Amino acid sequence: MNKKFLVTCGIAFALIALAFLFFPAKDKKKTAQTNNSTDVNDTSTRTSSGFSNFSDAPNPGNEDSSLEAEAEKLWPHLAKQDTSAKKKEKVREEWNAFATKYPKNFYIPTELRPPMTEAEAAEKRREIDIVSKIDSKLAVFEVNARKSEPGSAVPKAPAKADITPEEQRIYIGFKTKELESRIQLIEYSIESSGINGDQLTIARKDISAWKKELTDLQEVERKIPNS
Amino acid sequence: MKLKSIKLLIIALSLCTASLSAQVTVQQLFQKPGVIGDSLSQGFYGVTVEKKTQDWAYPVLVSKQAGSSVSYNTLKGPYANLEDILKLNCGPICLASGIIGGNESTVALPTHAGITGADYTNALYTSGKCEDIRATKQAKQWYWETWYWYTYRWVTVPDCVDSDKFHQYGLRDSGTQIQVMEKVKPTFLFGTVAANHVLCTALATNLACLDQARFTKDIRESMRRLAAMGSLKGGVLFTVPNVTAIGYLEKYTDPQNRPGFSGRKAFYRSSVSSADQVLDDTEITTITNFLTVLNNEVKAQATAMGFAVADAKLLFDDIKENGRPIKSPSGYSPGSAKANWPLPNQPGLFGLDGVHPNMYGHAVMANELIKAINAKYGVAIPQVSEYNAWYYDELNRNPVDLKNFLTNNIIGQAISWIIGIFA
Repeated sequence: MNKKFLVTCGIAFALIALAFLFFPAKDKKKTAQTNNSTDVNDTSTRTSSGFSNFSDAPNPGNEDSSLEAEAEKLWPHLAKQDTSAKKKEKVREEWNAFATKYPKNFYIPTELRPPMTEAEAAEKRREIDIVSKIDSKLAVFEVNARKSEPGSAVPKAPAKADITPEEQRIYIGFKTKELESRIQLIEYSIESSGINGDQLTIARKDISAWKKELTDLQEVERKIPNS
Repeated sequence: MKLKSIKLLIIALSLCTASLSAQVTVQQLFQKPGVIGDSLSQGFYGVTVEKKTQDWAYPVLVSKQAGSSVSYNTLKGPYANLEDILKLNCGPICLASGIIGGNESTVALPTHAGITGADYTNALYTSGKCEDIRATKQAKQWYWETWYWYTYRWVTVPDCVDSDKFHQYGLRDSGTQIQVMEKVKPTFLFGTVAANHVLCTALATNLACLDQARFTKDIRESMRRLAAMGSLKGGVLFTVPNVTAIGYLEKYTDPQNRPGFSGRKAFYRSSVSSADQVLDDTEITTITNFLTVLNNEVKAQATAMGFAVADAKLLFDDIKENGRPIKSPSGYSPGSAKANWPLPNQPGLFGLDGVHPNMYGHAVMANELIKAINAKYGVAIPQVSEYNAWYYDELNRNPVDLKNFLTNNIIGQAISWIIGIFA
């Protein structure tokens, strides 16, 4: 095996040496030609690239044809990707149809809603701050719970709350709205025959769990003091 | 000219010598690659896993470059591809389908078992069916003790609580990640599942999840079982980058200079109302020390297993400091990519969560692994063209500046999902 390998290496070695001794000028010329042709192709792709960032970037396949094959091999989704204006318009129409039925749904994209005032935007940022703060707190509690031994003492609620009633109301309000909207979105998709097969079974199970979660949230909301 | 030829001859000769000294060939190494891992290996991409993103994940790229392949159950969620939502590429039914999640396609036994959110403990004990396969409960077992006395005894039975959807759809009924490998018996292993032992600190800005004893015990047990398979000819591990320097966190200086209020906060947070919402210097030091212990253990395990090691921590530090140059074959360059999501006129390696690599970022990661594998085993797996990956990366070429979308409802929910999965 090693002998064979040595012979192959020797032949390859000799061929490379010969190639460099006899064809150096031609290779140089080829490199120059490649660069020139790249410049030409680069100009032609500038207008048709469809990319907003670095729209003048040369198509790799135009510079080295092996890169086109590499892209096909490594990223098969590229061949199927549809980012056309037509597709975007179709998606916009789908959202509009959904928004007609559920105008207040949480998931309707911002572009299809009336613009926010500065005060509304500030309120939204505050809401995200509060929601992520409480979500992080709950995640940490869960991490600690995972470490606890079965049957060990369960941590008791502290005598004083570490969040304000207003924060909890905002948190529960966000979670309720999100869950209601999520249920609307899935039910709408089932009605439109957009969810089939295995996903339909999962969807029905999920909706039932989310409805239970909603009831729990509504119960907690009723317990929040006014101040 | 002659000097050039001589140089080339020397290179050719040294390549031959290196190949001769190699213990195994690429074909032998990659006869059957196997993967255990987390969101990085599964291809989690702000905030979901789908076929497209699974296909561009680093183990898939490295295996293809090595002339081989890995097989996996492909997913269509759970959750949502934030980039597609913000770019209006996904309508209500597409979003609904993502939130529910499911399988796009399945295989009888995946050779790639990497699952989002997993660490070494999950690799050992979380299957597609049960959150913890070790969990048991006491149950009554009824039987005839004598011919006239029907009674019961207490027996220990499995207590299977459903695992999360990434495990359910990714592993299905194949067992845990390690059990999958024991069935597959791979010749080469992508074996890193370390990041979630420490990433949780950055995402929840809290140290509660750090557990050195559990990490050490479970990485060692994982490697022990993998070595016991007897099939491995090689493998690769990588160190975990400095999680306190990821794009998800940004520097914050408290205007009132309150103790514990300055440090690093989540990028989406507009204000800091409690010390819990930042990682201060003391906490960052604790995380850094934990990371050093964790990475030393990863390197020690790689040495013991005879695996290659890619120093992803060093790589990330370098990119953070100097960027990653991008150059086309003709020399065109959009500049150097930064360790964040891409912006107009600024390439970037990460997706919109500031935690996980984009398609281009995975190509960079794959190349670092390829370099480590080539160096360790004396093989010559070709690298991926990073220019090619950048050129076709939809987020790099049509970027979305998430900071302009922070008032979108979906952002609040996406953050909840991320905290829920990784914290």
